[in-house]
Amino acid sequence: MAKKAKEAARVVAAIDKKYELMLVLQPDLLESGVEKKLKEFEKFLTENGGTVDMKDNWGKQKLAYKIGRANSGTYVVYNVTLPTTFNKELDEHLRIDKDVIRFLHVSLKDEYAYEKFEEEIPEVKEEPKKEVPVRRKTETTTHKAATKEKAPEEVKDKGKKADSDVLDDKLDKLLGGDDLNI
Amino acid sequence: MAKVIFSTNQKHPLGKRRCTFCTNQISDIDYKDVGTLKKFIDGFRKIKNRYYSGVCLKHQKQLSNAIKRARHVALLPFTN
Repeated sequence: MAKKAKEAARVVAAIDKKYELMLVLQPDLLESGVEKKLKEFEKFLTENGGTVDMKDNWGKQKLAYKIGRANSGTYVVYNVTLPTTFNKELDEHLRIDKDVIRFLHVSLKDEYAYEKFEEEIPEVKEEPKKEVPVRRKTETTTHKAATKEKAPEEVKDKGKKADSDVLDDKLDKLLGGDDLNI
Repeated sequence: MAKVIFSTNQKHPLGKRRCTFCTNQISDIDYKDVGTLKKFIDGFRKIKNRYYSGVCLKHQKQLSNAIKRARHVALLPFTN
């Protein structure tokens, strides 16, 4: 009897609290499949007396380590308010679900505001660009040398052409002249 | 969020070290902020000792909690 009374007291003491949910879904699911899955999940939350305050879909991302066979997963973050009695049921529901690889279910403070963090990398990439033009200068000098080498060959060809023209003229004169009697 | 400035605590003597989270006025450390969490992780991907990073005890407890949460969701690795 005492146990039942305690359980009844627990049920009565249900209060709404803020929570954050992070789900890692399977990489094999398509975008339409993910949307369907999330809609079903939100329905499940609202049916059990919860409300969705914020939803953020990070998309497909690489995992830091392998989970089963998966190397990547789609990350989704929820900020929700749920009754305190519903937590165990939610965890069980997510644990059984095969499309959810991992999930994190954490309580939040009342004054918490969601922030999205992004890594800043481009500052490092600016330095190697300065080194590139120095290498190009060396390449241009080689080009000049190549052109210098090529130039005399062209002149030689011209000379050959000139010689051939002279020969042709001579031949024409010889053929055109009346000296030849065949 | 404002940029987090990381102080080089190794150069200062033990008495003059300052906690990076106290100087940047960060009250709660978020497990989703992988960029800052990575600064407090070893080459072997272990959590750095407070002696080397110079973080105060209050923030070290939050930090270790945040790193463990990030590891569980595969945002950070357990080992190398």
